[in-house]
Amino acid sequence: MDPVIANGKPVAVELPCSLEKFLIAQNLLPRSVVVEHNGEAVAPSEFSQRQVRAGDRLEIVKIVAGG
Amino acid sequence: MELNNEEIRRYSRHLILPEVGLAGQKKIKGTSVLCIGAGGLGSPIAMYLAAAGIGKIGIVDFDTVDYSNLQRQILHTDADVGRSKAESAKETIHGINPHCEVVIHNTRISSENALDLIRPYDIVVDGTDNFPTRYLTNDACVLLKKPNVYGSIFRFEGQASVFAPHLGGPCYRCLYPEPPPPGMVPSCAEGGVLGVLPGIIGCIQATEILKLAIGKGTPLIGRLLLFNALDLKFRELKLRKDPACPICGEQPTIKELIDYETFCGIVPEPENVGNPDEVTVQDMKKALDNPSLGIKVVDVREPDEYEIAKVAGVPLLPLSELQSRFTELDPNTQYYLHCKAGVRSMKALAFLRQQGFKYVKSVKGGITAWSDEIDRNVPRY
Repeated sequence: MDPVIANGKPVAVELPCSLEKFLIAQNLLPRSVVVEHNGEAVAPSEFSQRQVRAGDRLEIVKIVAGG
Repeated sequence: MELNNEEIRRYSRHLILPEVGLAGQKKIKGTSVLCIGAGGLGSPIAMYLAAAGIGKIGIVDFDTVDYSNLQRQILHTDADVGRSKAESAKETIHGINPHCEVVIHNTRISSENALDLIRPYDIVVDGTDNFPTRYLTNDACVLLKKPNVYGSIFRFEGQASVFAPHLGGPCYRCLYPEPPPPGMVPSCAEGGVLGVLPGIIGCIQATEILKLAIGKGTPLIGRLLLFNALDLKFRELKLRKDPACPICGEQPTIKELIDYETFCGIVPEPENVGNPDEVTVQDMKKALDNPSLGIKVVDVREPDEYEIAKVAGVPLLPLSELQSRFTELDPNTQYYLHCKAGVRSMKALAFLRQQGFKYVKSVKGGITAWSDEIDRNVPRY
């Protein structure tokens, strides 16, 4: 189990793993989060093809609706 | 577009900024902004825009002012409780700057009226509090090529961005193509919000509007600004336009406004036809008054909420602990579960059903309905 750094914290992940699979494993809804992968913007339609690798940095933000 | 002497005096601190100046102030005066929602975000947005000299502000809100709004919705005062938010907003804005034209739309924005509401304005600002209206606002702005200045808040965290596909940036759907299932993401009414937070996020939205009006600086297009009040930290995420976006992508599938309630999975409750999983607060009272019925009432809210308001004789078993503590309940006993408004008790019901509990019901409207319909001494929060 290699770690990925998600929001600054190491998270163990079994590789290979797509970004989509990673999000689901973290109990996140892939259509309701914004993700930056190693400092790069990722569109939701790319989540299923994009692979995460050991040591990758992910910034993940969940949708909120309050106003 | 001219400024009279009184306006020149009023806006002097703008006029001496080289980036604004007389030309910029005239542009601000010539700009119209539609503010969707006159609540937590809408309050600082409308007030600062009016003070800054925006020529015309439209306010869309169908709601009335409630006591629970006053902790953050600074457009409204104690004396406004019960009044239309749009009316109250107009009064406050005029008090700040009588030069600002205020158009009130005391109506719920919908697929039927959104395009007509938005069309006359230059910029739209999203200060709504729910997913259907956010998707509706986004789609209408994309179709009409209007910048959508976005902000949203929850508890101690806020987000802001400027969506403008016509200026090369992404839209709301490029970030969040589909809404979360209903009940998955709690609202401020369920999860709470720090009163100052919409002030901070709303002021960021107002800043972006003024920058768009004068055409100076670097707009928050293609960036999501995040704020955490507990850590007092700002951070920023890069955003990109999704080529597969259903409304602003290369092959858009959404070409007109849709039914956003249905899109967000919200099924309108047929009138007078009850949900078989729900009971009323009157049923809950009967169960409490008549122990011989053998129905037990359980409160599934969190301990902090229980401390604020509770119904006498009802034990607490928080939803957050249900998974580890459900064995304290008897699967063959009949239970009525209540929470604050009826959403979490439905979640608890679904969980207990999975564990083999056959006789569980959720109390519709929760302790809020209890306070309204049974016992006014139980505080609403």
